[in-house]
Amino acid sequence: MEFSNPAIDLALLPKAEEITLKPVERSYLNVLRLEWLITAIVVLVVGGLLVFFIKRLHQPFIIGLAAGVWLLITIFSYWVMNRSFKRKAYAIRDKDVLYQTGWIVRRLQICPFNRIQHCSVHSGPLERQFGLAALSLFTAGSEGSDMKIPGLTEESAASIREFIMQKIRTDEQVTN
Amino acid sequence: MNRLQTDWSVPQRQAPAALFILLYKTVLRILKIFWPFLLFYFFKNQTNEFDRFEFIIIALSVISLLGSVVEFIYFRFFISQNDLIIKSGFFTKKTINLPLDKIQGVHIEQTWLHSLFNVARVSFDSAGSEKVEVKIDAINKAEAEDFKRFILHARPEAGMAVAAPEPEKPIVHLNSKDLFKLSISANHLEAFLLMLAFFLSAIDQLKDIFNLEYNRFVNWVYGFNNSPAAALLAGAIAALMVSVVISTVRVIFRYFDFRISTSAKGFLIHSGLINIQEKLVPFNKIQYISWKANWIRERMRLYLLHFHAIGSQEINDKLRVKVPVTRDNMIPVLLEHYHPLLPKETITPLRIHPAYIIRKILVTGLLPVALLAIPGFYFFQWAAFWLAGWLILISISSILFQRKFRLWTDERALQIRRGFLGMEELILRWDKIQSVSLQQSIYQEGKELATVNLFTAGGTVSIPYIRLNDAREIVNYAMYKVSSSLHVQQNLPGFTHLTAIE
Repeated sequence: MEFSNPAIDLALLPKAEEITLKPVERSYLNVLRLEWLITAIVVLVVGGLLVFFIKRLHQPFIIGLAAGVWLLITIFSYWVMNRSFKRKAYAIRDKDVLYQTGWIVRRLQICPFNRIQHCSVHSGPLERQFGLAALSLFTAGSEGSDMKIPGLTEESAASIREFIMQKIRTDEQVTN
Repeated sequence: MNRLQTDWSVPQRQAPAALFILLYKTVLRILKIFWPFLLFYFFKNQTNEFDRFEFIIIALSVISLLGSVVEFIYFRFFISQNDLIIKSGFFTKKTINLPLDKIQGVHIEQTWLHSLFNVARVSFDSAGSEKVEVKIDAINKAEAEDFKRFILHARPEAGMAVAAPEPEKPIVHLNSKDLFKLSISANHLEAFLLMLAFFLSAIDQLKDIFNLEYNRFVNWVYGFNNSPAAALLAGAIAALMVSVVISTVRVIFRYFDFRISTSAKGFLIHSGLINIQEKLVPFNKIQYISWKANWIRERMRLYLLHFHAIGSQEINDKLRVKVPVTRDNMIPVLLEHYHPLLPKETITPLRIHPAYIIRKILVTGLLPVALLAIPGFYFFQWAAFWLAGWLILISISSILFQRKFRLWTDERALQIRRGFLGMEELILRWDKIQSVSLQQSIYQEGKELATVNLFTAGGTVSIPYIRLNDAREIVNYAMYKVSSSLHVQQNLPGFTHLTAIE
């Protein structure tokens, strides 16, 4: 077999940073807010029960401190959630999928089609209320390698999955 | 050499010794669960009463022992139509079909119990996503070798005929001088801590049960109070001696008769004194290769090389072989089937930005110390100043890490050298990457820096705190190389959760 290995001009390589990412659905913020609310309430109830049943905790200082920490974390997480929501965006290129998230730590992940093992669409009860779904892409890579894009409409999640499966199939490869 | 004493298409039982091994394993399991109770009963005043607890323990033990007998009796393995078939179980019957061409490795292992009966455990690993471990607990050693050869060389198209095995080419064999070098340079601190942890936990457990008078021992130790310098010296010498002995024993147990040869499918690795292991690391399963040395070994040019292979955690544990490299010329030979070392002289290396040091000290040094300082001072007064030691340790290690880190790239692979006291070097081919991520904390964003993570099926390779433009270039190039490479060759497992390095 003839082996060729032409030099590559790095400047001509497609640049991931030049792609305009598409933000996830606006209504996903409602899902996040509801999740945030539920978590805050659950923590409050559990904490309240602990204080109620454990006599030794019946001290104004401890109750005040716990309530303060709870309030601080709850407000902070709401703020971070809103900020990081604005960063949640994705793009689909000819050969890979990009997903960006995070505010304190911004993370852009790229997953090439020819490394995807399988993909799935998932929607939880809250997401279903808003007609949303999450698309998960699984690779053979180590932890952190798999990609999950939340906040897609059910239709677009399904069509992206179909598109990816099509890509994998035309690459004429792994099937189970 | 096509001599075949056993017809593998006929369902086979394990060797009778397997029964002993299964029973032994069950007894160990029972002891592990019930040992506190057993010890308690052993020392309790002997009465002839037979209480409910004893009855339950005995009943459970008998049931599990019977379970192992049943497991032995109903276990069969054979080869049919190019599949390895393993049938087991009586109440719940289980059949495993493993296509021969999917089998990528056959491992033969002997624990001391196996050696006693001249049998071996054979386990298989496949390219599929099977999470179940396929293994045969004990068959005759010679039969195991024969079976392995049969499986690895059976050609589907030729029916059950066995192809002439490829000659194995020996590449590494450790002699006693190598073992000596390895023992001397081992991490004695680690051995010492291991011993200390074992010793302390043993004392702790025994103390509770026997109500041990160990005051005399404590007094003996404190007796040195009169001459602290002598005590320190005596302690240090004793610790060093014990640690050297422990390290030597560990090295000999692990690397006795260590040899590597290459076959058509991969590296065959044989090692061990009592627990003898024979493993096959298939070339195509290797995702990246790293080799590292502690401070002493770096001076002696002695490395431990590690094949980071693909697979689920279990498979990876099985393939986790650390190859001691005792001669400089061994690394190129071991890399031959993956990728040769990059010509470092001709490539300008990439380095970590000095901002890494400040950031690391702030987050992992100053922050925890600040948080712990107030409660520390409250409880331990001025002894809390020892926390400053942590800060110094973090500072030195981050400075050294930043200074030592180098990344070289060429069109086929990248090579990284890193470490603080010792050093680690790794080589990764671009096409082995599964996905990448580019990360920026708020701090990094301000400084135009980024961290790149390269995910492979054998672990994650992280390149921290490089300039954003360099990071982008690496990510774009990696994606170009991966997308233009062939599709994943094997049917890879889709749910691997491996420990990420660092």
